[in-house]
Amino acid sequence: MNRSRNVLPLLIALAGAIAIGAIGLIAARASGLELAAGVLLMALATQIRIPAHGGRWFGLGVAIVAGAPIYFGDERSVDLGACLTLVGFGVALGLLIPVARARTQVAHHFIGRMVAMIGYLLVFAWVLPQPAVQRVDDGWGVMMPLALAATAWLLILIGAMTIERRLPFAVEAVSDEFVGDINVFVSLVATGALFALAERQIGLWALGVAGLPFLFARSAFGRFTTTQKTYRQTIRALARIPEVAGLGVEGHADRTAALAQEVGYELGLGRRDLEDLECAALMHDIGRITLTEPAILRLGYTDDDLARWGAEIISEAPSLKPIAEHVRKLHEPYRKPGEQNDPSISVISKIVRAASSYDNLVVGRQLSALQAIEVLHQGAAYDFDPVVINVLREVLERRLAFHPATT
Amino acid sequence: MTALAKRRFFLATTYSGAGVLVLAALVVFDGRFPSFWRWLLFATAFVALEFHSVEVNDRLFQSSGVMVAITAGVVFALEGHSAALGMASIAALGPFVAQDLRERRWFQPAANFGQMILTSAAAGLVLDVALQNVGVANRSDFATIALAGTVASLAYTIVNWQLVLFAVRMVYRKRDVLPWSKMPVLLTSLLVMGVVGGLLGATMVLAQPAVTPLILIVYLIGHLSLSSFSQLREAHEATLRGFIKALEAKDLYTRGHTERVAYFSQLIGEELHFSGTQLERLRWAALIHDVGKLAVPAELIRKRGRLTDEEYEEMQTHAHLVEEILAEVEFLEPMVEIASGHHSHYDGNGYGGSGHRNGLPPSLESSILAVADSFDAMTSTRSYRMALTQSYALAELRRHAGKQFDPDVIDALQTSLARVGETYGSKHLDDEELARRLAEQGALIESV
Repeated sequence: MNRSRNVLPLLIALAGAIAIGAIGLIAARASGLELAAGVLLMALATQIRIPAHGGRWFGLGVAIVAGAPIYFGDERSVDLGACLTLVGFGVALGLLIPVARARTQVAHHFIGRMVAMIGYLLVFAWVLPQPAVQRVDDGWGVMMPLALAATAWLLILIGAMTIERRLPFAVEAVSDEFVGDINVFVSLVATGALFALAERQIGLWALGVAGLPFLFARSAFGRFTTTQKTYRQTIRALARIPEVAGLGVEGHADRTAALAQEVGYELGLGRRDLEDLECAALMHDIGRITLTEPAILRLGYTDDDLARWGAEIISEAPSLKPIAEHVRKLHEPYRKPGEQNDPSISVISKIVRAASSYDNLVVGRQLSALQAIEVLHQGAAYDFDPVVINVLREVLERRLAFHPATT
Repeated sequence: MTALAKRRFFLATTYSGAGVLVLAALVVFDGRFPSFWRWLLFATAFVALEFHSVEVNDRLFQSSGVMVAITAGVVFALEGHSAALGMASIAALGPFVAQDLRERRWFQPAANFGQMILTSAAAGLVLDVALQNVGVANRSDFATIALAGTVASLAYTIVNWQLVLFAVRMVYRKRDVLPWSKMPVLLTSLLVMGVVGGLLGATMVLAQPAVTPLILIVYLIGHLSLSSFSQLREAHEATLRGFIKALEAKDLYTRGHTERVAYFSQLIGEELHFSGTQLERLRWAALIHDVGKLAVPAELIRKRGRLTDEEYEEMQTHAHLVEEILAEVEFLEPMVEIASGHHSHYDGNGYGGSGHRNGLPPSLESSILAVADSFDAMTSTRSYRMALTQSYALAELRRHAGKQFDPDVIDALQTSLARVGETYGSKHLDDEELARRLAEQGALIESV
């Protein structure tokens, strides 16, 4: 990652965080000691990351922010100043810790996350003193601002990430992208609120009451993400079998998958589609394993045969049935004469086909990037979807593949 | 009815009968039944959790029912009702696991029914005694309540363990419970959940009721994650299995070989008292032990007649290829090592990858895999030889015992095959030369 590109967002995030912390400090009612302890705790908590199923992570700071308006304040009003101090200075310190340890930090993630936290605090502080909430029996009264504010927090987060990811604002794409991450977020918010609520009555025992269920959930998240990683590694290893056997070009599957992922990302595919895309790209040449058959070598075969054999092998794994379909359709034309588009050919098939062909042209036939993309453009009538090829071109331009030295 | 079935029937009747008696005694002699709605809330949570128990490790199911039961017991006892009656009546509802119902098993649920009532009643009695003097609880009682919860879960665990031990000894006539070595893990998790249950019960009574849904949310999310983890793990294994099956299908003669080797390895492992984790590792190693062969040209694998030295050399490299292919999967590392040692000899000769320790005997797991692999090779028809009889295969293994194979492993294979009452291989063909000649003559199908 380019270092200079990272400095500006870091400075903006730092300045914003310190300003918010300063504004909070002026208005805070809580004691200085409590505030200092809170800020320190928050800064440390931002360093502890809980990985979510969808590949994102949430800092433990989420739990602290969630509990803050309950902890600072009473049943009638929130000490918003104290909460803002906590978030502002805590995040600022949290941003500086990795810098001090000479680690790179993607600061622009923090801007969206911090805005979402402040949204939560403001909604909470606004809803709690409302007469409708105050009429509810004690204890339950907190639940309403908590639910509303947490919803606001989540919506702002999703909005920020959608912009960052350049996803189309469509329910399907967005929910695909975030559904795996929400469980970690919700469990963190609930744990923070739980601690702050229970702490009022039972003191530090609340740590056990809130901590133990969370540790259980945390261990389940851990198991899931480990298995997910293992699954991905297995797919990658299996995809390499034809290459190890000398039946395919070394590294073709990996390179195709990497390129296809970039193109899919640019096209705004959701998380689940991107996963399928990676798997299909890795597996698309698995059919080559049949090329040890003397009969096949004698009679010859086409690309379509390879795709079909590959699909047959893949479909033996029950959870990979959809991948098999993408691979089966790999070498069918994306449109037939007189038609605009063949809807049965998925965008995943189109991307894998383009990425694989590009790699074959560059690595196999030793063409330059420019020549290769030219060949793909020539096939745009039936073989390659021009939308995909244009994005592929953009991706390659960003990779500096068209650098004068290489053309 | 076999002797085993009789003993199982007897056990199921005894346990469920004892459970019904204890429940009746509690109703008659105590009768301080908790408030119905409270009871219903806990009973629903308990049944839901028991019904959706999650497989966390190799056939080790985790259910969080005990946590809910202890929480309920603490709440009942603090409100002046009978924890024993409340908990036992809740436990009576939960002995059915979805899988039992699907497979129409009744022995397990019936025995569980009694077992759960007895254990819950024991834990409930502890709570009743420990908390009878804690009237209207306040903050200072928190430690007492948490401690009572811990002791109750200890009672729960001990009674549960004794009942399981008794069942194992009575039904399966085994004095040692080593094959049930998952028990310590299971008991630890029971104990921890009991302690958490005690804490939650105390919190529910002492803190605002609003904390309950928050606890439930966190817990439920954890539970859901655990079950999606379990599904993913199954998908992972199914994927590898499916692939190996599809790739194996290339060769008519080795079709099903992997599955059979996995099965024989499992049998031997059970006979040698392997733990759940060890068995799982062995099963995976067996599944991947021939992956390297997929990279060997097909004509070599199915060649009739003996291989030339060069061809033999080429075949040998497949043990290395396994490692090269699967080295990237961290989870499979120990399995790859086992698998790559399956051509190592007991006396330190042979060939293999990292699992082959030159001059030293291979690991026990590799030895098991070697025996299972050779046994299946001899008892199934190959391109160069017809299938031989089981007794011939076992005798042949014994002939090489101490040199190529581990004699203890061969014993274990023979005992376990006798135990499950299965026979493999040809019915009468026990002459290797004849078997090879027949194959060369192209007799594909054995005439029995």
